Amino acid sequence: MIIKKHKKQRPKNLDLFTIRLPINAVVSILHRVTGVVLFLIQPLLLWTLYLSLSSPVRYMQVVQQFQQWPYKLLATGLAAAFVHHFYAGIRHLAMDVHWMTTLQKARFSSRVVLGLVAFTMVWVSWLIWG
Amino acid sequence: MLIELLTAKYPGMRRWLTQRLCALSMALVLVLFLIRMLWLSPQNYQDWVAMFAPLWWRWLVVWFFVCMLLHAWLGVRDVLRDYVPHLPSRGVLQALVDIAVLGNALAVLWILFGMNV
Repeated sequence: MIIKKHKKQRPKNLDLFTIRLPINAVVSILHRVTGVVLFLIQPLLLWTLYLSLSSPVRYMQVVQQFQQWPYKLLATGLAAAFVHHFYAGIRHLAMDVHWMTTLQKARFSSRVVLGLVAFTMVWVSWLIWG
Repeated sequence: MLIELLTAKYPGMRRWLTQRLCALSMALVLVLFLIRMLWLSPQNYQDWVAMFAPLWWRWLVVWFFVCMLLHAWLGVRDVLRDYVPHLPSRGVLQALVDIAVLGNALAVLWILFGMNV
């Protein structure tokens, strides 16, 4: 009974306009989402690898396809997913060995991850679109 | 302590460690991939095929994909366990994932060793 009463009195705020995920949670959930995306796209990447190796004509087709903007956009998106999964994964590995585990440090390392992703994506975008 | 945690009594710990070791292994192989890509910088089909010619390179690619598929399989398994509480649905989804992982593994082996490029 006491527990029930206590539960009812708890303040609750689920107003989506006043709450948001903290930065470390954003980095963490993006690691999950990008992981699933990369898994789902795997057959397409293997198909591309197969085409590019199977004959000179198909190799040229693949190369020409990636000169069109929809494919460039896809490549940029996938690169962003991979880069985030990579850096955020290193962050999780660091936490696995009990490094940077306090809230303050976790927030800091989240910012470092997002910064590195942005920095790397400038370079990757330059490679794809430049 | 660590050895005890890795015995059959705690299969979750083994899966956890496998996923991390696969991640580390992939990160290291990836650095090698980047160096070789920049070193050879293939410009045409002949260069591209030549890059995949050495046997050690093919095995390294296979190793990379074995790590990737194990890592992904364990990761997606966790995702399904977290977000799909309805057991029959989860079973079906997990079966689809298992088939996809096996299919991808076979595809990698076939591309690198079965195609005769």
